Amino acid sequence: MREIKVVLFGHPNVGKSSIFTSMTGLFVEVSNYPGTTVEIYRGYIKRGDTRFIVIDVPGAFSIVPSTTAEDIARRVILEEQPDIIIHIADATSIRRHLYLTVELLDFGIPLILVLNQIDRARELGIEIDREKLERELNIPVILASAITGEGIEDLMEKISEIIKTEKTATYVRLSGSVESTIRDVQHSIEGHLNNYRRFSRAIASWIILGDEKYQHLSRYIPEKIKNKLGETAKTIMLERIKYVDRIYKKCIKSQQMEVKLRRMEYVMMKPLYGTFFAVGITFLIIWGVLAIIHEIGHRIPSIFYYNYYDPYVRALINSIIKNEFIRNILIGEKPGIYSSLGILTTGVFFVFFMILPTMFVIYIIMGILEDLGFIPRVVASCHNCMRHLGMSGDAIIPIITGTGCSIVGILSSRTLRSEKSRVLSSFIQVFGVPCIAQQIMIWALLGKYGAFYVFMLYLILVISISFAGLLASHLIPGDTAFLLIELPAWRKPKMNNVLKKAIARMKSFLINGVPLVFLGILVLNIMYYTGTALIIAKFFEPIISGLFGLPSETALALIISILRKDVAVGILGGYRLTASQALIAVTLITLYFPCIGSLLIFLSEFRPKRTALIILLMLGFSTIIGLLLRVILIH
Amino acid sequence: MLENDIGIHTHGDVGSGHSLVDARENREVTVLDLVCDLSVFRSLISIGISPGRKIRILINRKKVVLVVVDNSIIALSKDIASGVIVGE
Repeated sequence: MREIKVVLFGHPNVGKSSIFTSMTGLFVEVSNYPGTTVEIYRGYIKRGDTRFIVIDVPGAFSIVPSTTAEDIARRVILEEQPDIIIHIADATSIRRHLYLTVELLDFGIPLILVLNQIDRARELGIEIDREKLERELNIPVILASAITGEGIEDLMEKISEIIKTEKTATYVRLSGSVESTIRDVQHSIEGHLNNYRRFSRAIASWIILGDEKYQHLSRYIPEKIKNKLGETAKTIMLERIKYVDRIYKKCIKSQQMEVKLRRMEYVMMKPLYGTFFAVGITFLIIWGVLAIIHEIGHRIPSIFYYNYYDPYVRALINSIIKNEFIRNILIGEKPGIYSSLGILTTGVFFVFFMILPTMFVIYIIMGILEDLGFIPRVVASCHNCMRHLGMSGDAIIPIITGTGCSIVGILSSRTLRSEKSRVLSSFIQVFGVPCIAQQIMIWALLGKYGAFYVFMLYLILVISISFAGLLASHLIPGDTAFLLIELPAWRKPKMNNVLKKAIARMKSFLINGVPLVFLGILVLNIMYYTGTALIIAKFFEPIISGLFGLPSETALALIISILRKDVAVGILGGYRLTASQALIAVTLITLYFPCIGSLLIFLSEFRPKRTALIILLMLGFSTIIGLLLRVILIH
Repeated sequence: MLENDIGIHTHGDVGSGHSLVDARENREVTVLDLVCDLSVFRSLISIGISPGRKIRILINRKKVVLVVVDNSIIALSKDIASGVIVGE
């Protein structure tokens, strides 16, 4: 069977994922790109004797990357060497997208331009002469709508047609002097490109355009050519813009459109309270739905657990396992979730009856907010506030994502332009943003003492983040990145798309997070039954009891929090704590040290020196805050 | 090293122009020039803010400017907007 690789490329928020879902269906493979942790989606289509592998890469404004995610999108093309590239562009603002089309032509790989949202473009009175556009660009152009399904079949047919004809794309020829400089650079580097030799023209232009990834090749360029590269870079971009403008004038008729902001958007852009409004709405939506889920959705699995699962598993294990130690490890020595911990009882309850259902809801809400176009507006709204903490507005995205899981949050910081923003946003996540699994446990634990204590915890975390962020922004060198983002039009979320993302993220938690939850419970159980727990508790008693006024056994929860913070908070439920003690203990668990997963990801993303600095900051701040709380609350 | 960190001026004469940060809200202006380093220049061009294009200013607030370019809304921080020279 013949295999054809197709890569989908395009700006962020252009409907690329929707086209991908329309082409491949709901169930797709999600993998991290080799050596990186940026998600790449693969879908498979079988037509006749051909198997199409469709690869969806992260959104990119340009083929010359300014973020890690954009770099990976380009690397997919370089390393996978697809048979066809499909450029998904927005039919309502074609001119802005055609620049990327011109850049993609440089690869010399067959290219199809798909103008998505054609239904909306027609509503707006935009007329596109498709045939003329095809002739001008010398590539197929498809008018499509992922919402109505228009053009998807045409696209599949066009792919099959191109494969038969084997017609490649040709690059846009620029003025004589520019072409001559590109050729000179191309010839100088050609012998050093190994597997990428076929992309020598593209790579030559990237070098001229100042692409940092390829500057090492500039040592092969003769000095007299090097001297004119700065000026040529500017000319390449301006000539491409001129070319795009000319094609646009020839092929597209567009009426002057009145783009207006909604009242809510004006409010969101107010310097101070706009930020509170934007972030407040986001969290209100998430927590509001979670409260409903907790009251309705959470009770149903709980009923199932207590009435059916728990008695059945206990009876089964008691009848087949006679060794008391192993039995205790598996189901705990006493019934009840917190009275003793068992992998098959407490572990299963935490994962499948508490964390996963809630996490699924959170991911659905986040997916809807993303697809709706709300999140980029939160970014713009937060820029002013984030700058005070040394970050650009878009750093709020990984922080919000980090409320799902800080591992995912740290990884999604790869979309940020500056290293400083990346480190700071990742620090804030591991320091003061509890992951959703931990938050669920916090609501369950502190909620017992009253909503006031839950509110107090969030207030403490916000204050801690502000002070620690300010200090960290002075300690971590680098410039604050600028903000330059598109605010996509408000649109109705496509549930297929939202569901696809949620399933992919849940899969990731099942693979990466769940084993650690079970490991955490196993380690804790072994420590408990071997007496190690008691020794540790005694060792840390002077700090835990003396400094923070907590029972000595809290030391165990603090240690286990390195493995899983949600499990650690859950363990606190088994101790006899006053409301103030519970608040202090949860604050310390949240702030004092990253969980092992986040720590490892932090270490792999940033240097050990930075990781050490972050840990020192966390230990220092949590000690001060713990002491302050003890003085205020316990006396 | 290549000269990729130089300031780029696209036109010699932008006498009638002023920075985008000084433009009034709800005005339509034409981009005359981009005065910035190469990486910012690239980012501006690829998002659609390039010399000759008409843009309309929706919001010009403390740290962020919102403009309409080809039916799309783009948000720019003031440090970037200050390098975008526009004319009425």
